Amino acid sequence: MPYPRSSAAIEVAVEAIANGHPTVCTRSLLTNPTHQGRRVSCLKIGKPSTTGAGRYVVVLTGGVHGREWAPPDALVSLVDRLLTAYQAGTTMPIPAFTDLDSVPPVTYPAAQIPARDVRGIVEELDLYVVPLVNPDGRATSQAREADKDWRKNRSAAPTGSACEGVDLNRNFPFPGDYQVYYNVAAESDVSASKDPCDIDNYVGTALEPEVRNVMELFTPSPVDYFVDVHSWARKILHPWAVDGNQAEPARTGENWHNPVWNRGGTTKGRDGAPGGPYDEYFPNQDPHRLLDAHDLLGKVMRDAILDAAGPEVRAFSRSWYDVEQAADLYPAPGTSMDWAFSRNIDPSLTPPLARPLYTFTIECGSEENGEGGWHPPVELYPKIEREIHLAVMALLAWAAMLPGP
Amino acid sequence: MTQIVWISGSQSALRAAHLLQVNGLQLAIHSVRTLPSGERRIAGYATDDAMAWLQQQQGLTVQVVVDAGTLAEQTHTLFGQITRAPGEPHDTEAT
Repeated sequence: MPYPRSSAAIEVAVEAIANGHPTVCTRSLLTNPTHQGRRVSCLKIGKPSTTGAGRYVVVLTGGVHGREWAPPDALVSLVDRLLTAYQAGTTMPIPAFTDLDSVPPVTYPAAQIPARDVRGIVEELDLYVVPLVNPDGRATSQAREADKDWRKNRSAAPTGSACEGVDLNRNFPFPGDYQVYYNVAAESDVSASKDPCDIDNYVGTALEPEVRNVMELFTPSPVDYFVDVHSWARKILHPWAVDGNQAEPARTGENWHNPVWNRGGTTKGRDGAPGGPYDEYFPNQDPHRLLDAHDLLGKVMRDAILDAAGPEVRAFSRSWYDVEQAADLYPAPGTSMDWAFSRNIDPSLTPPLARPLYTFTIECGSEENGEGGWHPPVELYPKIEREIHLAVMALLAWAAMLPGP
Repeated sequence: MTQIVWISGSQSALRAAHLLQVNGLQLAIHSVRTLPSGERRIAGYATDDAMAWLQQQQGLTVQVVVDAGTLAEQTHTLFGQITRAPGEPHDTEAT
């Protein structure tokens, strides 16, 4: 069991996967090196089309936060198992796992991803996987125990500060300056900071290279599904993270690009509280019904995890992932998920997206039942890994099953 | 020492505490849950100082989920498991 791999070991594994499956998998280096000079790999999986038919495009990312150790390893093993099964023409195995630390032990039974789903995913989708977006952050988190909770990248300290690093999942260009978007009262409840020494949520002053790497995956080709895997909360989140959701046609004006709602506008800024005076508009009209579709797809992923948990009541309860919008007690600006979703209704995007883009954040694992929060112990990691595999494979199988675009 | 804690209370009590600004407290933001009582609960990593501060706040209940000793033991075990790629330098110091 290689977990937890170092940043360089993730790269070695990614290269080995691409070398082992050259007809259906290619590895490329994303454009922007990190601040410490590391390169970030992307795996493209998909059998080249012989018909020229369109395909849905899926982007999976992990390792945005250095301290979240499980997702990069799990995305690497997911691709490895998917392609191994495809080459063999077999089902993709989800191994059984027994949690021996529980008394009595809890067993999660083996499961199989059907061979037709494996084939459909490889032959009907264009799948891009970036297992480790922030290798500098991971290297820092794994270098010494004092830094194990390092979350940010290793951006140089700005002038006048001794503190390095930007929270990459507060650095995406949506909805813009949070001190413009939110009102003064909401600001202290927002998960964002302009203090470089904030160890978690410093938003930075410019787009970070790791963020630009992710953004470049969305152009020029359209993306249909985006999943960013984080830890931990046992939740499957969909937009919005910035504020509450509402889908009322009469309230389309409650959107991030409407300056009336800015702090400098007539309303003096947004409240950041779901159900408050302002909630971000989330379109839900026919034919795509985006809000309903996000809820549905989130539950498809949740149910895939639950279905594989088996009959044991503890296994079931420990496999339960809430499906909900990301904004809850503390709203968050600048997340990859919100930025990607905003492209659905971004008036500055020319041309506008031709197809809907569905975006999710999986918060895998828990602090309960010995799962270890950001650092799942080696003994429990297989449980987290199988949950990521089951959820992501359910989404991929769904996308592969649909008639092509 | 750091421990994992659950902090629960009414939404207004949690907001009033401005937990995001407490030194030594790292919240897992998306761990927020609504309890059957209607109260909200959020988990986080708290130093001893942060714990002492939390326990003085009215309207909040603080419960240790993973004690400092267990958490330290898990971390120690994990650091022994990190695999390095061939030739990879050992990042002993953040640069």
